[in-house]
Amino acid sequence: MITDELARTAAYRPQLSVPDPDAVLARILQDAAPVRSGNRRTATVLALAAGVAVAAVLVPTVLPTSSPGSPPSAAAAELLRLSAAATSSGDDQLPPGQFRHQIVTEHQVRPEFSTTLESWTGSDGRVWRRDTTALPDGTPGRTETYLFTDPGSEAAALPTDPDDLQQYLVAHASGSTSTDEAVFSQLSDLLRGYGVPAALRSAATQVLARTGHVQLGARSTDRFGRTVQEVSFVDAVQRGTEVQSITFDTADARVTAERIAVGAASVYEATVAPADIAQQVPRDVLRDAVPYGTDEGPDPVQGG
Amino acid sequence: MTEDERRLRALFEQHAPRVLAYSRRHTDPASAQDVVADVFLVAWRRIAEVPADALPWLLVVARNTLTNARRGSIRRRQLTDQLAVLSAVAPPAADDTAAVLDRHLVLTALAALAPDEREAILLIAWDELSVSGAAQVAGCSRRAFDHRLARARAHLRLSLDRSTPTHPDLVKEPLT
Repeated sequence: MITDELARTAAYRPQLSVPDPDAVLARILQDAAPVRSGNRRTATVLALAAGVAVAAVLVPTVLPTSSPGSPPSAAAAELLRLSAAATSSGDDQLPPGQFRHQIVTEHQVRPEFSTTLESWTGSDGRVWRRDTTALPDGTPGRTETYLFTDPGSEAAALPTDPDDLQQYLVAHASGSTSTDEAVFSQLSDLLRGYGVPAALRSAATQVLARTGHVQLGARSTDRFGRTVQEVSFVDAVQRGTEVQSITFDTADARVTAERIAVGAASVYEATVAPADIAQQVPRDVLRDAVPYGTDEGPDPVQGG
Repeated sequence: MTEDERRLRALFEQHAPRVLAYSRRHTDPASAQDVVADVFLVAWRRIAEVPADALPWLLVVARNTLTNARRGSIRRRQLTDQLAVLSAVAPPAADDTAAVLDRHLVLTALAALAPDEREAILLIAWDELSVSGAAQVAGCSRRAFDHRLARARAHLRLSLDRSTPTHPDLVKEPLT
């Protein structure tokens, strides 16, 4: 009799198969060519150029966009209003020698961690960012400091015509088996990024207005005194009780918060504090910053 | 077809089911499929870096993809009912009472283990990794993994010893 606990466990080894493997492979092979230089920065740049995030995922079996559940008219109307607000707010004009200083706090459960991302954006578009991760008991964890040399280049390359942007996002649908969800996620990633021009914010909110399963959430005043509007992606068929939300500042359509909830419980929250102007980047940040995506930086293979 | 493409296809054919099984233990089915695509996208971009013993490398990428929700579109989803997770991925038992019972006992014992101990067992028994490979995926030293695995096996053995006999298919004649 086999009593070895490992053999007994192995008897129930999963025998799974990937649905439609040829299509998955075909989509992967369409992406950026392999990087042979071993230069991770190049790989990261390619990844960013190819999609919205390093962890972009290509899934072929996407549902048609805006299938069941076109956005209710209230959501569409509010998003169009936000689009107009983005246009009228214009782009940041930073004088040389000044920096846009911003703090984003994130909290995620399972694994539980809280991260503070403090960034300084220069007039030349460079961004220094210090990420401080706290352990669940509140004690400081690790601190990592990065330099993003050209973080706005991806956003600058995207179309600012809503039709073209929608077409681009649908064509690059990733991260979900639902095109609507993939577009919503890509827009979230895009809008939280650095150097997003007002014209792109405007187009992005118009695309959201056309995206299925997008619902209007609460309008409220956040703890910083901003009037904010929550917009949520709700697809009970695909995602059960999960709700993904983006909250916009009604004044300029900048993202002020993000949230993922399962049922009543929040599993991820991010809050973007209002930016202020700094006269310099702290010396220790300048000293410790490593170019993002290099061997020293976070990497999908090595982990963060 | 280029040599790189051939290699990626071979990697996918050989390892995608294992990456999927690993991912299914840690996230919901739809996201697990996303993780598989993500892992092989990274493998494609880094094809020259993928070692000959590729599975630990691929599972490390999967682990990092699952862990870091901020970096990409994949949203990690909570999996609170470990028994349900394991039951969903383990093959069904043969159609007899003893087999069904044995499957339930093994999966229940696994679900009751501490997460790091359960993962140590499954990296070996389900993912078929070597101890070195499993340590790599678990993100710890081989020595630490050895210790963790020994502890996990002891706990699992204790739990199973208290239970009923094993699956009939696993019963073998003693060597004479």
